[in-house]
Amino acid sequence: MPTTIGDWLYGIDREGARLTYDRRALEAAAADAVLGVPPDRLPLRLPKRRIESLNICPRRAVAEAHTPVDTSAEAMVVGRLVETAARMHLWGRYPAGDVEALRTVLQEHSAARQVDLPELDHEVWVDISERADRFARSWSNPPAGLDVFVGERLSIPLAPDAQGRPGVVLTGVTDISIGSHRADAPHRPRAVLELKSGKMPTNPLDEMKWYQFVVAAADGFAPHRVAVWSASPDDSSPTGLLADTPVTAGSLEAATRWVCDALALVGAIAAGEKPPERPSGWCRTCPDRSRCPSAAHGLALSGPSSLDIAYPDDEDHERDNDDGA
Amino acid sequence: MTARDAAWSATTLAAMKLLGDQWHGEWIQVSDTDADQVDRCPAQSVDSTWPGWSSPLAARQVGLAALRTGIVDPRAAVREALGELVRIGDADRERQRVQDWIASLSRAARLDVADEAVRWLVAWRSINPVPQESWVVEGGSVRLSVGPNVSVRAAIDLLVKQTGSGEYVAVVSVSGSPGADDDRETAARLAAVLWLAGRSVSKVMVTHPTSRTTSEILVNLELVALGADQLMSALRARIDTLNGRDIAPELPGKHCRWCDRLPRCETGQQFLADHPEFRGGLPVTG
Repeated sequence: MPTTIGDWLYGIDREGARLTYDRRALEAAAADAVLGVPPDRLPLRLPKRRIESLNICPRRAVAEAHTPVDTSAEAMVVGRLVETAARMHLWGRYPAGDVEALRTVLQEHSAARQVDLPELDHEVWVDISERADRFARSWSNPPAGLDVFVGERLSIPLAPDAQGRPGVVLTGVTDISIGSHRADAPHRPRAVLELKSGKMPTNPLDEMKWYQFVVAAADGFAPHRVAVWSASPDDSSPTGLLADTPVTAGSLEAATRWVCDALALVGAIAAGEKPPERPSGWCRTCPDRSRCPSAAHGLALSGPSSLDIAYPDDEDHERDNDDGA
Repeated sequence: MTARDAAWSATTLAAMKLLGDQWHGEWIQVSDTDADQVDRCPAQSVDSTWPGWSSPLAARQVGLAALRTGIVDPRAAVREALGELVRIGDADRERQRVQDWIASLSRAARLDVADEAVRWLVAWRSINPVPQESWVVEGGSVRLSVGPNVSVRAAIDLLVKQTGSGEYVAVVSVSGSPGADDDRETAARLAAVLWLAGRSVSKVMVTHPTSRTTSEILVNLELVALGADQLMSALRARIDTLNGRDIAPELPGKHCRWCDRLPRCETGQQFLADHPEFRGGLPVTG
């Protein structure tokens, strides 16, 4: 079981055939989901976070859609900067451990993107640097000749109407993927690595399900492995934590079922049904916990006391417009 | 295969010039994107605000320049393209604007532009045909002068033809979700500008790199007429508004949610107040 990204990279099968993906179950679920949904509510647009929430509790997913996310909150900014720093480390853009150098490249990077960076205290920059250094230590000594790609955007249009417009669009962004991008063999990820700037998610299997699914459904072929790396600043490990899984026909089927379950739920809600309540330990972090009649049951159970996503990734905040432009 | 209709091109261009000659102010340009917006909301089409360059916005320009270097390795291709963009001036106003912006950037910021361009290039290559040696590959955008200070422009990724052939194939990548009608209209606008500019294009490939899908649309008179109609509507709306003859109507709809005119558009504000928002299928208000 690898504990660092470097070790994990040595275990990737870079040559073997990849599993082919059978879309029939997904297409059938999408076609069912749009039945009865008024056209002005389409397309049903599902990024990872929304699928997770729907499967935890549909009422929670609706409550989250009501609750605006403050992307300028410090925790969000820190998360974004750590992930950017990690990606920059791949290209050697700053010397690890140099807080000032890191601050300068991140500020210039933000300027190039027309993103306003709030004033952050020196201690916050030190924290960002330490989390990014954990990534650098975990990534160290990777195999030679790796084909690394960052930030690949994928979308899976489904259930087209008579004009060919999709009734369902699944969208995802892979943080880091390892594959091939020779001109005659376009990038096809063989392994996907999801970065978390905070602690390891309570259920990293959801992350792993999503990334194997989204690559397989978009490409037609599944990656061999999927891993989640977290900076885990509260953990004693100097390299953060790594959770990894191989992709099998069974795991891919389970991932597809997880997505199809969310599709059925969002289709029913969009068609006007009341979102069901599924009380659990997750009620502690639900925006609707003070109003939901079922929350008392969930609040009596143990569960996460804070959202375990340090930074709900950009894919969750993409415009939900029709064309995704 | 339908050959370009020279008579149609001549009469349509003359009609556009009648409009273009009515504007004598600063140079303006009506793009295929404006023509796409004009049916949805003419006001948005004539009054959208340029957000300024950023790395994601510049990625396409740099990525296209990288594609044309012919270098296989994406990072090396982008490095070469960025070097050329900074070294060599360009008569194309659009490209000159991005060149000026890149030249003003710090090293770290320029590297971010390169990262975005690599991302664009790899995504493009994951779906589009790899240029062959037997192809003649030409630059992307095509501009057509339709008045002393008025241009119509189509943003195409590549224009290719087999060596010795007179027929072009236009390739364009779009970021949105595929839709047969939308793809056809995209192809129609691009093909219309190409025909009017004297290029005999027989096929437009509309590609969607994020979903790995491609539509191949054959060009014929019916298609270019549809595109020319949309371009004329956008041109008329812009010039009539600039000349104070007309006010482009505000047509509200879902697009209001992301329109940069919303803060000053009462029609859009009212529409949004009356229509509960559904985000990806989940109710957000109401």
